[in-house]
Amino acid sequence: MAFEVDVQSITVRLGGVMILKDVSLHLTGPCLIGLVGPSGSGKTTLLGAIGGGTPVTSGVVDRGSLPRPAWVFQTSPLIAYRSALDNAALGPMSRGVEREESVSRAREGLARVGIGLLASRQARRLSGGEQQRVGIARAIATPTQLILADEPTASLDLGTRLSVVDALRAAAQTALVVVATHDAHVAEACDSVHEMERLTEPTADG
Amino acid sequence: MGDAFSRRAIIAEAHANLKATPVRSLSIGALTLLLTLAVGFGVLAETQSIAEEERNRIEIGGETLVATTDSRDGLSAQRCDSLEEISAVEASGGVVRSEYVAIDLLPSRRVDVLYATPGFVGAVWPHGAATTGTPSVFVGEELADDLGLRVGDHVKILPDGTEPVVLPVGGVLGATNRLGLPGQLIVIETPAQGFVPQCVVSLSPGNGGELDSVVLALLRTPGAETFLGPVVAGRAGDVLPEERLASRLTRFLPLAGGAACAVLITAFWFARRHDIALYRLLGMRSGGTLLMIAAEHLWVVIVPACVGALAVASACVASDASVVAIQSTALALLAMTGLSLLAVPMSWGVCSYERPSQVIKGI
Repeated sequence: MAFEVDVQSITVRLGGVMILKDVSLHLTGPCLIGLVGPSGSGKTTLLGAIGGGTPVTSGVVDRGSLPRPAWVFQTSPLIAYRSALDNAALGPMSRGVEREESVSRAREGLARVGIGLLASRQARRLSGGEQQRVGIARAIATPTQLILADEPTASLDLGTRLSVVDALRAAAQTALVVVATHDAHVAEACDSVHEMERLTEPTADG
Repeated sequence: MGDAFSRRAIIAEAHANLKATPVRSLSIGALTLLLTLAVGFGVLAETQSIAEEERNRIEIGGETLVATTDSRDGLSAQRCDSLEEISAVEASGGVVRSEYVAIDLLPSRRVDVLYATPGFVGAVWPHGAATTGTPSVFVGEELADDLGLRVGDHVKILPDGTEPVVLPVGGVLGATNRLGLPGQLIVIETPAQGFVPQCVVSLSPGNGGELDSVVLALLRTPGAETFLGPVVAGRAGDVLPEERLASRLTRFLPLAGGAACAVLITAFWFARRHDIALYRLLGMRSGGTLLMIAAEHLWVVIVPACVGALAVASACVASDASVVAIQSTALALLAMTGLSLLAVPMSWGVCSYERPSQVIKGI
């Protein structure tokens, strides 16, 4: 089933600084969409606007009936002493899914990102890449069709980055995954890439 | 399906968090239990010790027979004189001596302290010695043994509302712990307030009277009220046991409670601020985090505190602790369990103060 996010000519001004100006996008999932561009071009702000967390000054972001998105961050925050499975299960539980079903969804998510065998391992005993993949599995397990990822490979080495790219591809099989990245490997893996440019006016953040 | 953690999921998370950190959970639980036991048994031991001391002092003086009459004539010793008019006393072989005024021991008050009126302490004399020597007190053999008193030692008597009076021990009376010689009876006339006329009824040598018959005569006197009251001696510089207890508890409890709370909250903040921030980042509402923290605290803080309180309470019952000891221990345990309950919102507060983005890097 296809789902869409329609960004209609949005402008975002934060603290008096213009971050985004008249940006329009039409995103259709499931697929992996990349947002690329230099630092300060507003990639994170656009993700925030799509997710609904960043208020737009003008324009409209139409997510239709899509529920609240799941996020993947630069480093996936995990509960260190809980297992990978428990951490992944937090995603669906955060949307009201009961624990038993959440665990089941999490197990499936971990398998899809290739770390199903590490389900019972404590998060603190996982490598950086494995932890990031747990974060992606958490997003996959979350009952939403919209996943927003902000620089998910920024702090990883090449080998690990490739595994995370695979995980993002896995997530994009059932969800619309929008990823803000500087990483060429991630950009290459995307079904489509939206290039953003830095506005002439100085911006507060990327 | 809702849009946030369900209550059941939150409780399940709390239990899973505890299970995932067994060493930490058991350590906190054990520490809470030990702290509660330490505070509970500490206060119990302290209060029992003081109560025991108090009880000993009371029991030692417990044989003093105090007879009151319905007179309320204050300073005058007329009522004492009137006892001479009780023919039954004389018929029983009693001789009424009206030479001293000393003791305030009111039946309607706590009867745990013997007050002597300054200036009249000379009234406490053994039979036949009223007109000689320095004012002094005479104590019974048991009292002397218990307090380690010898003739020449000093005891402190605490008059109501006036400075303590320190008196030398004039003599140790064998085979009795009454403030008098065997064969003497102290009669105290209960006043409305203030001074207390006191009389000694003694047996007239050679008239064949019995002390018991004198007591009976007094008891049977119309309008008279008789009761047994304790006599308590003190030493110069002594603080009343209740005051000592109150002072120690006042200093000890807030200190222990405050320290326990500070340690618990700080430890919680260090250990859990990241986790709580993550839950909030994932959409757990404020009430949800409070519920989760409460559920975790229930097992590692509140239950151990209650178990400790029960253990101390059982010990209280088993040891037949005094009312004072039970009251003080209950107060201490109440404070401890109260603090353990208070730790929930405090822990929640310190972890809710920071925004998730301040705690979690890279988001």
